[in-house]
Amino acid sequence: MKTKKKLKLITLVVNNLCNMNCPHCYLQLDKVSSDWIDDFILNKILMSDFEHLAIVGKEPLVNLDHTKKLISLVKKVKDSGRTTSMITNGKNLSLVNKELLDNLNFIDISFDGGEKTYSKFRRGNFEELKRNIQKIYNSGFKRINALHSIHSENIENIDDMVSILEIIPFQRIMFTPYLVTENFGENKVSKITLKQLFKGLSSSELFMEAKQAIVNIDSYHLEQANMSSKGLVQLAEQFKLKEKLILHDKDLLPFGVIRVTYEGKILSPSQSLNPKRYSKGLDIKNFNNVNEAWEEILRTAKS
Amino acid sequence: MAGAIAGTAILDVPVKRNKKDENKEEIEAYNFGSEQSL
Repeated sequence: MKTKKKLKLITLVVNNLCNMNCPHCYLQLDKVSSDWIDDFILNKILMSDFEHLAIVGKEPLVNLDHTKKLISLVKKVKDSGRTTSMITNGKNLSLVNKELLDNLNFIDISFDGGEKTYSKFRRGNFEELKRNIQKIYNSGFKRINALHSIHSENIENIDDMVSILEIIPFQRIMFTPYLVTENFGENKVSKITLKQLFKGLSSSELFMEAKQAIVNIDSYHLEQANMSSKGLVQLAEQFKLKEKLILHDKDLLPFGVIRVTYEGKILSPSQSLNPKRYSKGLDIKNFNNVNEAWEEILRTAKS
Repeated sequence: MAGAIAGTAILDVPVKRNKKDENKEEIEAYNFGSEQSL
């Protein structure tokens, strides 16, 4: 019996504004807009059959107006029986209120550094970030994760990145290697090899000992490294990292992962990493819901 | 990079592959440690 494929995860870009200027940012689009995503697009998403909405950018907490709209969106998703998460740079975590936390399933905070090195890359105030995270955690919201993108400029700082566990016991600290992407900005960092990454991670006792610390590699990393999944697992075994490895070695599209942008473009995971390909995405206005667009992209990918 | 695509939400996306000895899809064995429930 053939089972109907399920749309699992919609990754949503709700705006094109950010209050930071990170040297590795891939989400650098071709024009600046202060707009929040249109209700027309959000309604199409809400009419879709999916499991989880991950709000991934550009920065959902960029100002009070967008935070209010974020709260409204997250509440609607929860009311319709689905779950949500958001990725934030954490600079405006002070805007997070009880209503948002009551409706949000988890928060991912991008760090890329710890107490000693955070400000070098993100130019944010680490002490303020720390206080705001602790305030949220102490209010009872424990589902907070940390993200580290690893590249040429921070591979030496793994201990510092794991030491953020002193702030709160993050549920996950996820390390992901930086990928070269096609975007409209400038990236002032370089990618490292997967061997360099594994060597750096395995050299850190803190990383090896922290049960929350994991490394996520996906098919796009394997493609850029020209490496097979078997080769990657062997490399992980060599550095005693197999238990830390989360490997998605296939394109994520057939597993029900798709992106919607604030301009209403619907993109495959591969396209979503490359803003210069966003214009080639499908337009949501031509579909009744995201499921239809996902199936169309799947059909096109197969042919 | 899945971390950039979806953050830790990606941990709940299982990767499946066709096993040679079984003509059906199985959860990818390398996808360790995902305990976070959406």
